[in-house]
Amino acid sequence: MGGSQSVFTEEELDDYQTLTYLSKKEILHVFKRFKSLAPGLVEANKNVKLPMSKITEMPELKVNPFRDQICKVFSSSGDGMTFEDFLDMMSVFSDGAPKNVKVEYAFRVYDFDGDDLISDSDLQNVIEKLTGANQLNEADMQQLIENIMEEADLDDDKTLSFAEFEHVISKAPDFVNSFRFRM
Amino acid sequence: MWKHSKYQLHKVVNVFDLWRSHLTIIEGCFGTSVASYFIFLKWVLLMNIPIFMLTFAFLVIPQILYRYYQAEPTGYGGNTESFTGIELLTGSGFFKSTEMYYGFYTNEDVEVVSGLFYKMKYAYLLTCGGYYLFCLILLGYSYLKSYRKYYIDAGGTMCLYYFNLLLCGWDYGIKSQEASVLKQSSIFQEIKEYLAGSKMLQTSKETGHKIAKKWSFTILSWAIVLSLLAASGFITYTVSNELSIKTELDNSTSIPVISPLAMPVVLSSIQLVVPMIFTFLEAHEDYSQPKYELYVHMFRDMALKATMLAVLVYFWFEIAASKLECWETYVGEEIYRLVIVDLIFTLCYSLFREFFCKLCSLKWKTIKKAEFATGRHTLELVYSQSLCWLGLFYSPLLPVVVILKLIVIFYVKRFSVVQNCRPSLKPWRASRTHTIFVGYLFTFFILSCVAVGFGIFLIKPSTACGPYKDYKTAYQVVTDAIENWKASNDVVNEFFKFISSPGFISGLLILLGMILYYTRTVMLSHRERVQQFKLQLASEGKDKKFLMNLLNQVRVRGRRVSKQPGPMLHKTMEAISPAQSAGGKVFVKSVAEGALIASPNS
Repeated sequence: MGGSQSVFTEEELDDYQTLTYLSKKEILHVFKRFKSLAPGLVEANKNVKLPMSKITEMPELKVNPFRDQICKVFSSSGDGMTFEDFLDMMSVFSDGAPKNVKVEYAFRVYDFDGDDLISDSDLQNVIEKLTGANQLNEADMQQLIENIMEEADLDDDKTLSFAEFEHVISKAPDFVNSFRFRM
Repeated sequence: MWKHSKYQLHKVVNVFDLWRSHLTIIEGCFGTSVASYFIFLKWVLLMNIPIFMLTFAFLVIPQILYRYYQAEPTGYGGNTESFTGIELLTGSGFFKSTEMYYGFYTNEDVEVVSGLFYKMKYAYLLTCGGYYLFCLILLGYSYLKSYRKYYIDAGGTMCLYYFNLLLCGWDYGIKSQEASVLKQSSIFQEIKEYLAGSKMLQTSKETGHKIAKKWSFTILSWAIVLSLLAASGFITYTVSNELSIKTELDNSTSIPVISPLAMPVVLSSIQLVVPMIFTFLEAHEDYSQPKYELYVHMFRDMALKATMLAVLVYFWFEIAASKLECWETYVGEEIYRLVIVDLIFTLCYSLFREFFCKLCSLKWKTIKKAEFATGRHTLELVYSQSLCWLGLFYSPLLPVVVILKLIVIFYVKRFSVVQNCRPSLKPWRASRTHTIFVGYLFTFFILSCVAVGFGIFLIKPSTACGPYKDYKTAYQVVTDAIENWKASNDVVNEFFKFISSPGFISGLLILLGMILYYTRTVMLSHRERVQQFKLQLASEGKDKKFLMNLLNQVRVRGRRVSKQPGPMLHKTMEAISPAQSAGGKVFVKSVAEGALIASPNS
């Protein structure tokens, strides 16, 4: 911990603390984890951009079926994450982030084609990733998608807009608890 | 400024976060279901600490001071027994003449500083009332909070089932590959089960024969359950009558350690064996959903425990109170023994079932490691806590024992679960079951209060020992005090006359009824409004679709279809980032707070 403390000045830590939902201790912890992904590269330059393959080595992301999409959403340049991207991601997934921020980012993670709508194909992607090795057959998949749309799609346009998504997820009691990385 | 100080306070409170590292490890490997048991344990432990402090400060310390400062304490003989290790198991012997039990407490006034009297009689009752009130408020508050969060906010039980399962179902905190694979399979199983269930509901047309068969089996199994409950009650009564009380009455016919411990051992064994019979019955009853099976099993298990405790309480208040000289101490000892034996059985279960299964699984590949039975263990916690509440009046130092027991159980289970268990495949609604557990805890608390209240208001205290030896009932102390006040002070007399007059009481009841009716009307009207808003949303969506279609028709071919309104933060971010050409990353928090300031009606 002492080594990483000298990497940031007091001012930088203060700035990061104001800009994210993490405390100073947590920020240093996050830096430690970022460094452990590629020690050599980060030692040389703390603002290096690590490629996606290295980022997905992190334990929580490695076993997460949505890891590629999460990295895509939080990366500012599209092909890798700097420490600040990484810090932003951990900030949204921390306990301190308010619910509306988490809901917003959950929407973007589940919106695979990036058109700001969750359509049938997005849902199909979600289901496939969630069930992993065991795959549902065609009929079950269609039935499942239909059920979800029936529950959540309020204006009957066969897609979930952000407003509908937010409305439905605000009623889910487990969401905030499950949408976080434990430090 | 306010946010900053709140944040600092949060950081300070986090330092006291007990066992945080252990909970993180468990959550990472097993998910929220197993972690919910440990969180519940921690909550029960933290609830016991204020109770302990109350009894320690108001009862134990004055009694100790009495022992050392009073010149000629009356009715107090020195401790004739010596401390041998076996007392930790049986609770009697040396402990009988210590602050551990009700019988040791004096009925006199403690005077440390001359002129200031500390009346032990009133202190005992008032402390009792105090901690029960504290528990009532705490439990009532957390039950209502839980209920509100998971039932009312969610607007009904089955509405958002699929959505919740798929879009909130993934636990992002999972770190191990094994847990991840298991979570995926469990989601898959749940989807298949639920789809199959809803298909069956749609297409099922049960023949009359099948319905009759199902109902007859249900009635049969409930009859078996009731007879098992009656049998266990009878066994408890017999063992208490034959073995436990004999040690007190007549030392010659009883075996020194076995006799007093017979009843707790029998009780715990019944609690181990009978639920297995219940599980067997439930496997053959046809439940439409696995969660109903779980709820019925929990109900039957709790009914069994409640029956046995009720029989015991009846035995203590009716038989023991009339036969024994210092029956309150006896009750305290019995409960202490129940608590200790319960601890031993829990440790043995961890050792034999979980550790043993792990050893077997290492040797023979076909035997798998044991699953961590979260539901069963949480119900055991509820049972042990209700024992604590039952015994508080008769054994003021019982919270210490329970706190130590909980700490031991936490560490044993925490290491056992990580080393010996595998994550469960069955889906677990952590949120809903937490409400049910707190509900059971609350129910058992009320039952314990009723039982102890019975003892205080109706049963005659023993004449040989304790703070109430000269009274007809323990509550008589309070009524006497009120009579004294009434006699000495006219205003107080008038006040009490007014309160107990029928006019006042009926007025109070009518007022309560009116408040109830009013809140119910408000709730119904809110529900109506929610329905109307839902319809309004649907129709507005249709309007939007219609207008969009019109727009598309008018638009010239080839132009790009405009994007639907996107998420709020994304738009704000796009608005900000072109403006910020210099400088690095735009962090989420600054955008979120900026958007909040910009649109305060969000």
